[in-house]
Amino acid sequence: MIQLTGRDAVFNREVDMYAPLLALFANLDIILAEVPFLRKHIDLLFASRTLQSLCAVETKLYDWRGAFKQAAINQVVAQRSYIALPAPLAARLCSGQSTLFLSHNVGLISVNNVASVLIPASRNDCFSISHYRLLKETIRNADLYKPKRIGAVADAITKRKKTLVLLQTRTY
Amino acid sequence: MPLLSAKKPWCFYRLGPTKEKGLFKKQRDTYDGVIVPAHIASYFSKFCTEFVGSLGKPYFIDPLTYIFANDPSFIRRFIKDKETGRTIRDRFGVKKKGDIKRSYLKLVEEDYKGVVKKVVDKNRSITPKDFAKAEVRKKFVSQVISFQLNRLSEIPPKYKKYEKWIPKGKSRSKNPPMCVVAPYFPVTTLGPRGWHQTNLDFIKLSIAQSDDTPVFAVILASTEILVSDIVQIADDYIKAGADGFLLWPDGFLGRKATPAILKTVFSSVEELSKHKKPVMLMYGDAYAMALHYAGLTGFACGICYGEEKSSSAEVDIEGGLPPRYYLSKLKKKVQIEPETMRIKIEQYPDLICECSICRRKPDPVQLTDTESKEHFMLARLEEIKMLRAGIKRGEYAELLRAAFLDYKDNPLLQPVGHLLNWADVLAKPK
Repeated sequence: MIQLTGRDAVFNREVDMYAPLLALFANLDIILAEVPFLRKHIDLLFASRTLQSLCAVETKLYDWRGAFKQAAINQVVAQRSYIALPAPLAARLCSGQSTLFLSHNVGLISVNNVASVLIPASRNDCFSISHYRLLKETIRNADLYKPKRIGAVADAITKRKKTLVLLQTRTY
Repeated sequence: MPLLSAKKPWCFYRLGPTKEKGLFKKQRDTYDGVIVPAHIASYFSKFCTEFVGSLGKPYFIDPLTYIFANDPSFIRRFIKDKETGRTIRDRFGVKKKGDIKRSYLKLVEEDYKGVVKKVVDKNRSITPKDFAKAEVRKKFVSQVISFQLNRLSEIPPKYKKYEKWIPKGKSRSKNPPMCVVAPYFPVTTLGPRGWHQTNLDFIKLSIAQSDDTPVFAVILASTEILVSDIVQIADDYIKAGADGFLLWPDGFLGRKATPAILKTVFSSVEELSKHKKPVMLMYGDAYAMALHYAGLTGFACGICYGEEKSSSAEVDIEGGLPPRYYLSKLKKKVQIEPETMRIKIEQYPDLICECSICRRKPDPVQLTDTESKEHFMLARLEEIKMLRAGIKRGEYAELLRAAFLDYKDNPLLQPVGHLLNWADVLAKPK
């Protein structure tokens, strides 16, 4: 649930940031949430229909260091990897920690009522083609699942039943 | 077998259910002894007898009696899906349980019997009231101590034929444990309703039945109890005649503990060590090495796992543990996949390990599960050697602090805050 206080949206849960993020990557056809990858889960994964290029997004409300570490690990399988944070925190990091983001090729997204890329992500030499193929296989199998609404994803995460779900796009 | 003469700190590894026999044998010079959990000693008694017999290392059996004070479902197995290996859940998402685990069933029916079998048959937890009668206590302690003294003490027949090659005076027909552990239950209060008085009785009875084998007493208590009652517990255990302490701060993990809890455990070890008896940590991570400066004699863990345990938490392993790589300087482990794939150890010269495994395979990503465990044993040995060489408390604290300062801003190797917390505990004057 997004609450508006003054100009900035206030997010109570990470999944509340999903809707603006989905809008940001509206040009990509496949959107997956909680994608299993080597005992970790990628919060959101965006991909083109051909799966040629993957874009991973880690969302966090406060613990940006945890999100950064996870985003850096996601670079093993995704060509572009971002962390998405509420706008005030993202703005602070953009001015104070931009070197860190650029040196690790991790991108930064600011999420408010709309989401915007503050620091673009880029590919680095950590990308592993074999793990990328494994993940592609997982995504292909995800086609078997019926797309879920964001609410269903939020419920599943709240209940800690983390399973691969194909998010239904353009629900807003 | 007499108590260890090795320099402090002693390093013990717990025998786990995984296939580690080869590892224990190959790296036998990297540790001082083995702890065999009672249910494994009971169910795999032939294997364990041969294992500890051929190892020729000090060992003892953890009687695990506390488990019977937990919810009776704790000793029941989780029902697994045969295809996926995952635990089956009911419609409310609760994991399904089946029969009693076979290892515990054998321990209950063939070894502990008596009051333990009675409560397991009735599907209830054991309570101090079950030991109200002196003869029940005596019978129970007799079963538990006799099990520890005898279960693994026979030298396997296949080794007897080599006895003629052993120099005179060193021949041994038995392989007794280095100590026995008095039956124990968690201390939640020192009052009459808790287990404390019963535990004390168990220590006294164990001494009477241990045939001169040293009797160690387990202090299984939360850190809250340790804060308030460690002095009393230590005094009572010493008066009861314990020859050594096995400290188990319930659910404690040095890496995740708050500074206050770290200090509590540190001062608990200091208090126990005042009595000039061995003090071992039942489950310990690298913080056990900082506890060396509080007077800790030794510590135990699994090989690269099992460094903490909560007595009341149910463990359900769905799939194996992922292989992890121990970073000695940071006193923490990282998952080989995917973390070390991203960290690129070669970019951090001071994290590069010089053990034989890492010299052969410098990239941790290439290590197998067994190799990563071997690396852990070798790296841990080097850490212990440093303490045995007599590094001063202040110098050790400075090493921890320097490691923290070097890596506090590296996002890929977080968290490292435990290093500063440990250094702060050591920095405080005695």
